[in-house]
Amino acid sequence: MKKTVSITALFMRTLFSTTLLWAFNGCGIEYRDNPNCNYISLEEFRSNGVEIVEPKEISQAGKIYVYKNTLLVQEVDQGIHVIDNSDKKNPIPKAFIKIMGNLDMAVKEGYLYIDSYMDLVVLDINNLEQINIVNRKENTFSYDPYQRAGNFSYYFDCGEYNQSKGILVRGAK
Amino acid sequence: MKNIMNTKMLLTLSLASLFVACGGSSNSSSSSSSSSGQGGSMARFAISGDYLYTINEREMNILEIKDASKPKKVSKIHVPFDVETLFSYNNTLYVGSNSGMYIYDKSTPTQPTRIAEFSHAQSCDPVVVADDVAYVTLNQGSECWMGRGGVNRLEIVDVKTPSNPKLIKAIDMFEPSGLGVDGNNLFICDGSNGLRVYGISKKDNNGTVDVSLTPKESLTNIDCYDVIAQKKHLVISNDKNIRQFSYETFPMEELGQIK
Repeated sequence: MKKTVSITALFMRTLFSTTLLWAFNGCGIEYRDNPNCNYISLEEFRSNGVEIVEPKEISQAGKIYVYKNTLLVQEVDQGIHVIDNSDKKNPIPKAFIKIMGNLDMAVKEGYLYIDSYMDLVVLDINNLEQINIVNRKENTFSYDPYQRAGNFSYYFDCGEYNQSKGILVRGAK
Repeated sequence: MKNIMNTKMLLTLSLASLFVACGGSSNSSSSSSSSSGQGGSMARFAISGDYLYTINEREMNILEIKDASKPKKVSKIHVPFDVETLFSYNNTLYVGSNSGMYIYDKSTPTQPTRIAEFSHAQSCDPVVVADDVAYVTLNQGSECWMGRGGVNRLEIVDVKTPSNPKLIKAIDMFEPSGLGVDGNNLFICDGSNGLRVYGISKKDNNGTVDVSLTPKESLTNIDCYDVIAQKKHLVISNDKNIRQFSYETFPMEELGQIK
């Protein structure tokens, strides 16, 4: 959260996005404008930023990860589907991990490591019936309010970032 | 001074975001120990031994994860601004970027050092490595303005000496993105051309490595983003669903879909 953006830089950024928007509108880049930009406080982000909920349907599959018989499927901008893939002809969705600001995942010895904006979060997935958050290592990564959602083709423009308002989240809160 | 730095960085990042936004590619960690899992070629996280390596557009963070309840950040190194994908292979890390492939030595796990850069045209490109051969897909993004001078191809690179990568050959593709390799099978997501499967045959003639690919199968009804191939089992991230195949034999057997 040390990142400060100078007025000049912001001006240049705005100028650039505007110019790019104008110039490359047909280039496959989708701009997501302000209706999708929401701020939440750091406290709220840290208490509700990662949540284990009921399984749901895949709507935009992103990255995938295989750990033993568990298949993890990233739902772009939303979180990670956890699937019991012991029987590959009959995989069973077990849970959905709602995550704010997630770009990637990796598993070692039954522990799932994910990023949630600038924090690293560790979840115990040894028992898919009971997934637990075991650790949150705050400020592991640099916070980038303009972080792209993985490698998908849009540039997220939420105007000037106001650090005092907390975290700028993509999509719905 | 700081303002100038910030401005420069943001300008660069604005441009980087634009470049990166075209096509969409990222990468993975397939050659990890059995205690960790396997990602697709688009991963930005890779586990090797007791360390988790992560990249974003400007930094690589290294975390010690010996004890899951106490991950420790051990170092951070600067990486080129347009990096997208990370792949761990033996004592090296392969970083795919828009301008090339960077190879880092991680003999000292907490301090990876860059030992090689393999440049190419501006394209989006994940990389996977097997049997001392790196497979890099370059995707210009068909709708990208900057892609006019770019390319859509697969590059096959000899990385037996990782500090001195040598291009073996380049093969034209349609719009390649995610890819996976397992034994002598290579799986490539090739945009609207679907999934292409090749057999790999590698020959070493007195130190000169040649790799030839033989088309094995092509599935055109797939819009694949990324793949994982391991133990004759193929998982494909296919936009609205996940498809799984067995490649014990070819043509592959579809095991099912997950919605």
